[in-house]
Amino acid sequence: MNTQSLRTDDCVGDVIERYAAMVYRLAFAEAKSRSDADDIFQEVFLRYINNSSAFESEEHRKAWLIRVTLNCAKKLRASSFYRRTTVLDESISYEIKEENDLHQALVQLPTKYSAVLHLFYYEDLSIEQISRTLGMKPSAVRTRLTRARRILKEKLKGEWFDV
Amino acid sequence: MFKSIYQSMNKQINPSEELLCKTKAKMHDALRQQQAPRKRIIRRPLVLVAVICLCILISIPIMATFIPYFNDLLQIVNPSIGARLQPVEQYSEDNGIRMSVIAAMNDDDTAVIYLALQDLTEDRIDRSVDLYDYFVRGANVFTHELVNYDEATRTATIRMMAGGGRELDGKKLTVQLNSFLSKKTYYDGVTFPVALAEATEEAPETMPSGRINGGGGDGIREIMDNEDYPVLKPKGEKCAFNDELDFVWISGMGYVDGMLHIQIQWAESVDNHGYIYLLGDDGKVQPYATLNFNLDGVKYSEEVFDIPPEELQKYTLAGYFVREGCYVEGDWNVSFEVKAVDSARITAENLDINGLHIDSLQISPMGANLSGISSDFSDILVEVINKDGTKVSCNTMLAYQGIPYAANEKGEFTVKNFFELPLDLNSVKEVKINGVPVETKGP
Repeated sequence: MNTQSLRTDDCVGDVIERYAAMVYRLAFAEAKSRSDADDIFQEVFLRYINNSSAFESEEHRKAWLIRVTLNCAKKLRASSFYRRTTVLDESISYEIKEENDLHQALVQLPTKYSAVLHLFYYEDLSIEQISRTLGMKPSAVRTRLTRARRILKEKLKGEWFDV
Repeated sequence: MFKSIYQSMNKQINPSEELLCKTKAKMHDALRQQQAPRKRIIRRPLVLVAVICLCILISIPIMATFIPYFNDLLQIVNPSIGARLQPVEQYSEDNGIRMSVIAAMNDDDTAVIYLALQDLTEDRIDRSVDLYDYFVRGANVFTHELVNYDEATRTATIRMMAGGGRELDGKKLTVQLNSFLSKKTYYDGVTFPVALAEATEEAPETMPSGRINGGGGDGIREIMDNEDYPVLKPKGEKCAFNDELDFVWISGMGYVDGMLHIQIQWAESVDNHGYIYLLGDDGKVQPYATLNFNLDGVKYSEEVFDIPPEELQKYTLAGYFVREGCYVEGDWNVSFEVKAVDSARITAENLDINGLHIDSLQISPMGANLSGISSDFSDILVEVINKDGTKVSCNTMLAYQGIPYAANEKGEFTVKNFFELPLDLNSVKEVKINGVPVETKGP
């Protein structure tokens, strides 16, 4: 395999341009609030700069960013400040009713399902890729995905829930 | 529809321009600080660290007497493994369970880590303990096995093998465990009460398989490429193997395009699992393919057998099943650092062995890294013969590239085979792959 030298400080601007949306959307899927997603976003890219290792490929860099985003979200949830505060209703409004309904259902979805759901349906990662990225068994990924689908289907009354 | 709505709503979520600018500025500040000239390092602490390291290296046997887990481990493992282990002895507690990283050893891309899992408050750990959601940060692929269970202290000792990392030597590793299973019940050789010929009389109703979640067997690749491949349409009726097995049922059976399809329905669970097979006079017949899929939130497996209808009366349907017992969740993590003692390697390149092509072979004291081309690399046997005539084989494999029973189209694979005992490379006389001696260099 040809190993590229992909140092973290190669091109800061390019990296943030390329991965800003991915990191932010995953952070939002985990935190369900813009202000928390903002905090996670900054923390991820600062960790990126302080990461001393080189990446073998863009895929490696992407997987690293996904893992760190999820770790930062987890760290935020574990902080005593976060546990003592209540998320304000930021009244996010989407373009169509189904999107707003889905957002409400996702807010109620247990956090442990958010990452798997997002990586599968938005980032289009396969079960195997998610399993490698999150360090979980493929069977655990499948179980979470199945449960997430079932919960969402119940919350959305199954009207348009065709995966 | 779900996917398109989920994607569309996510496309509306973007970082603000202000956030982007602020983050870029912080990143540039951090970079500038990194690139600024560093202050002169005071040498005295370095000397102190070196002395401490030396003390640790020469005093492991003495330390062992004061570290209970490490001392216990040395009683369990082979002395040649014990000699290479570096004590870690750090633990994490949550939910009444203590996870201790007792010791570890490593080379460039792999680490072998010994863990102890002890229930401090209840009785949730037994011999069937199975780490479920876990990973080692810094590595890509993992496996584990139970090496000992102490009834008195309700402590399981587990060997974890983590591989695929880059330059693991001297790097900080974190073992993260989020959940484990235990108290499993195993059912083997359970026979189905209805005769196969009787159960397959009617032509079954089928449906396209659509999106298969996974499966196995010789035919799985061909089937997964064809979304129209027919599977049995569940009729809502299910038949149990017996009263005790209340988590698995036969939900359909019949011939489709000359192949016998038997469908299993699973109850919702974390890890109930198993498989069915046909039992004949000549032993077990494994399926041509196993297909796993979900329908309306229900999990199914469909086994496809290549058995003609006229031979059906020779076989009995039987199964092997595992019922999950305890599913324990928590947050256990331990970070530590280990340094490989031996960086020497035995190497070989471009080997052709009975249809198996190996581009590169690298043997470290812990295992053999192989990369090459083969349609099935599941049974590559690496053996080392020492100068004293003893033989050491590999007993565990981690695949970094490719799937053992179904390599990618090109057949490329990269694997690490772990030796059952660590090697002294200077004592190696000969290396054999699949019984064939190979020409090597080093150490």
